[in-house]
Amino acid sequence: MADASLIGHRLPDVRAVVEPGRLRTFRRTIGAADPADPVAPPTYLFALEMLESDRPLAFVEELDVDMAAVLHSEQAFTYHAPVRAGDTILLQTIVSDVFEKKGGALVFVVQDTKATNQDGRHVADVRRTLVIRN
Amino acid sequence: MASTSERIGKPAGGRAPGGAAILRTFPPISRHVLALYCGASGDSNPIHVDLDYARAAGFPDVFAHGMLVMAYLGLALEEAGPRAGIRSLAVRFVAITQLNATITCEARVGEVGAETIALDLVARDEAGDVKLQGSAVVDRATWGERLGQA
Repeated sequence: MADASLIGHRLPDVRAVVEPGRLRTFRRTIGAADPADPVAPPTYLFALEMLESDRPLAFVEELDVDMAAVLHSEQAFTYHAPVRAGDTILLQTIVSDVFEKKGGALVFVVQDTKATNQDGRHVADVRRTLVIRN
Repeated sequence: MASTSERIGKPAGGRAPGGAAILRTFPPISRHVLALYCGASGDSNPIHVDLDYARAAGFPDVFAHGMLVMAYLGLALEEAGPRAGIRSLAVRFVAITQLNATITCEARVGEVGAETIALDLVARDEAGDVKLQGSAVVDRATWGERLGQA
């Protein structure tokens, strides 16, 4: 059951290499003009976490709810430095907020991820908001 | 304000009618596209590719990953201007994007500051229904000319 007791909960850290082949496949799939471009596109950090995690859906599973009841409500990226093929990115995620709407029929879970590269540079902040339909 | 039929099919780049600074239409989101995106993004949630699972969960069919449509918005932005100047990108998933939807991404100039320009973003399907709504902030120094705000 997802409730306010989840606030502050840390998801497992993910350390992910930005593999050139995976990046190329992603770019080709979304229709990029130059799939071989070595810079990660704006939403790639979201995919990177799932591509390289031992538990790709940990961010849903740890809510302890039926996965089919979970939808993506909001998503945000703030960029501080480029992410490139060959980088190793550390993704550290914490549940920063849980709140209800419609008398508990909808429960929103906000997860904040800090992305740091192999040089210790803070490259991006990622915010994912999920909604659980009870 | 251009009609939906006029908006669809315009290439990225250039100043489109109706005040859109960026306008780009993507191919229909087929089951094949969803299967490819499942593998390419690592998002293995079966609801996007497994019809039996989607029906058991109460949906009439599989539907698109919200993040696929957000990737389209990001690509429209990235390929329209200087990528290095993109500071942020944020969206709200307004409605489920149905199978075979043809998505058009649009950006309009919002608040113009001394150093940054805010862009209002929207992704619509072929019926004009809003699927994603959001915003981006870009550097005025690098994007100003592209957006007519030099």
